[in-house]
Amino acid sequence: MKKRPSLLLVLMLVSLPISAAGLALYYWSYEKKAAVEAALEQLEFVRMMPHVITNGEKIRLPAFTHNSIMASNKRFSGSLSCDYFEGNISLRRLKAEIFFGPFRLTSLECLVDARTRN
Amino acid sequence: MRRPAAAFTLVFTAISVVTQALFALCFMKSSDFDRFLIVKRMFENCVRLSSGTLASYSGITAENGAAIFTLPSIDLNLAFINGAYDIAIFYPAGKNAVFRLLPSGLSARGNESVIMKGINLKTSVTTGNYHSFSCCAKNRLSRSFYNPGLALMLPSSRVVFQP
Repeated sequence: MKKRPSLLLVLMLVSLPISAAGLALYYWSYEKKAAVEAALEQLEFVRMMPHVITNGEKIRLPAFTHNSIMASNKRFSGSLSCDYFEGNISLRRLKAEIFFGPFRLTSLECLVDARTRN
Repeated sequence: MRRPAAAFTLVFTAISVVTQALFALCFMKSSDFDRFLIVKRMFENCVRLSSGTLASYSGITAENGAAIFTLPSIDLNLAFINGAYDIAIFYPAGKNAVFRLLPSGLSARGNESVIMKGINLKTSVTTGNYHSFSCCAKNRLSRSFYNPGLALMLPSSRVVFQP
């Protein structure tokens, strides 16, 4: 007669992928938080200094200033682009994207009124 | 039949311990990062609300890594009071960092003092063509640049930085 596997062993086996998935998700959320902060810092910089980027330009991140988050995460890469929003020349759209290897961590867009910068 | 079960239990325990250790490491990294973000946001909020900086205030000098901002005082209706300023100070104190908000007599803001333990704060405020503010906490550096001639950071179209 074939012996049934112990319930404890089955539970242990099931808990392994769950704990690994939990760890991966936790790490991913940490990286995502860092990426959002890095992207926000870059967008804020361009918002305050609009002349550093021209419309249609795409710049690799980190740019303009030392960004400690991107400096400590060598696997982060990203770009910052700028264009007119719906052809309106007084409204610029800034877009910051950050990737972790091939995976996109965040993509933030910000509309800036060129006259008031709000 | 017992040997495979024992081996499995051993392997499971090893993997479980490693996973828990990695989880703890991630948790520490994440909590360190959160602390950095809190200090950074507090600092940047003060920068945005400020109308100028001071080189020294009541014995605390900017040379020792402190950042001293003057914030226009507000009344209960959140309107600015002309000629009255609150003082916001960030300064390192040993292994900790301290934030103090000292309101003027007319201000509706309250007195505030926050000690941030385990934060190695270094701040610097430089002025030139642009105002540059740096804040280093938990060995992470945050830098902000503002153009004093163009930056309108206060709500009522006030020029934030004194020329």
